[in-house]
Amino acid sequence: MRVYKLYFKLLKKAIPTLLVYIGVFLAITIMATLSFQGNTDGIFEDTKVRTAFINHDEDTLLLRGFKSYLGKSSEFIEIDESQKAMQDALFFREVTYILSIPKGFTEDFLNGKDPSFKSYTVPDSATNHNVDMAVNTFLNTARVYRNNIENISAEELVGKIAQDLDIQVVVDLYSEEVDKVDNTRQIYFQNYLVFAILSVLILGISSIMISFTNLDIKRRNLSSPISLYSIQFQQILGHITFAFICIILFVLLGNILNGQSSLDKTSIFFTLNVIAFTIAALSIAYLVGSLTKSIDITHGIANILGLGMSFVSGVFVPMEFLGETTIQIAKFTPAYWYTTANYMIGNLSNFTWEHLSPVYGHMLIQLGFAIAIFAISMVINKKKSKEAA
Amino acid sequence: MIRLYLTRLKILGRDRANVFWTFLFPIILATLFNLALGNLYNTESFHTIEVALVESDDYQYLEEFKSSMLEAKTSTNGDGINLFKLTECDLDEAKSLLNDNKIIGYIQPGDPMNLVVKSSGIKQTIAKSFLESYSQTLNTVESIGTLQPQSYSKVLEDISKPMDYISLGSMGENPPDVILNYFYALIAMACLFGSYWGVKEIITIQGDLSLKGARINIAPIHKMKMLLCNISAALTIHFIGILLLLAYLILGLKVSFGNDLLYVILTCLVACTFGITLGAMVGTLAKKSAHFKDSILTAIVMFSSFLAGLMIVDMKYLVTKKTPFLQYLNPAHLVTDAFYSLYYYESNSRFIMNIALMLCYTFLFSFIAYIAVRRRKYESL
Repeated sequence: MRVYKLYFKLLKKAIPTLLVYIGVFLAITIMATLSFQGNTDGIFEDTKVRTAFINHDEDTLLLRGFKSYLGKSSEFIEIDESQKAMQDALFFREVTYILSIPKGFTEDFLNGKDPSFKSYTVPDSATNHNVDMAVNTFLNTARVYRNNIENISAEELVGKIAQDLDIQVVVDLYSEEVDKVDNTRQIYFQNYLVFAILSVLILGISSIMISFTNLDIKRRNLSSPISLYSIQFQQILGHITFAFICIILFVLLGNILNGQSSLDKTSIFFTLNVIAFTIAALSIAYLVGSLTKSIDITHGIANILGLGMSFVSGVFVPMEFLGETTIQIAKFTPAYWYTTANYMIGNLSNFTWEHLSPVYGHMLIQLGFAIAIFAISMVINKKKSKEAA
Repeated sequence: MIRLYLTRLKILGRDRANVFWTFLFPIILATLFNLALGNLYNTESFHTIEVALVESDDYQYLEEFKSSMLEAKTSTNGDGINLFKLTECDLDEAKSLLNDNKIIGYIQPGDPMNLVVKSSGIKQTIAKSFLESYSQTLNTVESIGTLQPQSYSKVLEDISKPMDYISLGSMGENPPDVILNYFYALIAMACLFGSYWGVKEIITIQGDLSLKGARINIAPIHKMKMLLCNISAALTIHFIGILLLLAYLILGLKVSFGNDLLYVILTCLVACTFGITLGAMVGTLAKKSAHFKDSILTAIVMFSSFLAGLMIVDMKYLVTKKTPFLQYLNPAHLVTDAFYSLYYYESNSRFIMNIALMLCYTFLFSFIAYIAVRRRKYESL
């Protein structure tokens, strides 16, 4: 096991470098998970939209009624009415929605005209839709009354609308188990590991493998009475040890972050899935290490694979938002199978074979990737070492 | 001096593979970004929501409810896709469907409506809003029905043609757009990765770090002059790479950078210089191997890009809110913000502040690197 021992000598030398990599990617994962505003208490809740309500009309009954209705879905924030202040407020997301009511709105509306509110928004925010809905629901209801009941007074109108709109749809969380926990945050963390694991393994492993590519060292190794396969095998064993240390670190961290014991069923499956993905990531790292000779290029590749796979397979951007083509492409990466398995595991509420078999399927696909990529790298490695010698 | 510069340029350019890949990497990454972000907030990516409707004889408006659920579309102008796909079944079946994640939830119609889901999410919220607005409308119909039964058909007609009471206002020429931030952060990261070039130049000129450095040390040339030429050569190559990326973003991916291309290019140039001097400083300060220096830089650049919103766009706003001082320190934030203010604001004050800060740091970093490199003498190498 000389090569294996040598591997650890190299690893020891590389420890500061590896620690920097592990440190930064773990820090990113932790901060990302902590910034995630999931509801962890298992209660179905809409989030309130931070809205600026700018009224150029008078403080009329209709608008007062509207504002109190809007208050259910919005949190009102006061901002300055100048254009600069409004732009700044949207830019820094103090508000995500500015609703501006034109002068004379109430009068026009009650006289049968249909003027409109002006909205200024941060366009991505999905919750903004709630404000749009609130405005349209309120005013459409008002319009129906206005058109159909003659001479309805503003007071009566507002009263009727408030009564009609006062509806609570009951939303229940369903689970066959009694104490169902919401795993959204855990899923988020597990998915983020795609980025961390890929980056750390590619950067770490290739910085060690590059030491073996030096021509003199290679020649010296090949002239030794150890077979090429044995050298490769021992190297891979070294890589596996390194990857194993990483997994332990990541899993431990996940448990600390999510405050769950690692022994409940869900966590065990998450861990199994991480192991499957780490093996796939290891094979990718090994391939990259076999293909490249320069550390600069390795940095670039680690960057592309880490960031690229994370984007395409729903780590940074939720899977629901990805287009069909993107998902088709993502299926050619192990990361896709990893993240989809995470969603499945997080939403499992009973652990029968029927429910688990797709999870196992996805793990097997990841291992399939690993085997294929390992095979390719072995061939490349063999060819390269013959060429060089 | 010009000859030194040109020679260095030739040396760097001769490593074709390296130059080619460093140029190509951000472009590949941009393509992947575009793949993931291109469809965002676009209705094409909307998938019909699968829900189950629990059959119940108690609810008198069941048929009306069913048809209005089936008719609901993502947009009113005819070409929208259906919001819901309904499965009618009994309670047990609905439960098992939910268990298998075949549906996002099931509805038990009644007054009030009951929606049972497994987790919260966008689809669940849409289903809830729909149920709410349906019940509200029903209330109105009933209430007018009792007040003025004769106008029933008119009421239905009014309800079936909802008005849109919102008109989109615009502020400035360009609407705020967070997707852009991803691309701005990407180009910021690419500029800052120029720091690898900076480290390389420091290593080649330091006698104790490379053989070439040792050779240069005995040459009768002023070391600073040499360093200046080498760094300019590296900057030239790096800047060309960034311009290619910029061209690809603007022409290929149609990412908007506002209307002032010259300022955008200026930002790139300043950011490239910023990145290279950052690398030069880290190169002189971090002792240990070249690998270690590179890893420190990778860490700095990745973390700084992360805080500037490269992975989660909200991170940028969290930082400005929670730790406001960080936005004046974080390199990637300065670059990203410079691009964004060019795009978004009409006045240039914010842009100028970002550029000024970048220039300040560039001088600071160069000064530190200079102090560390100057007058180094070696007894033995």
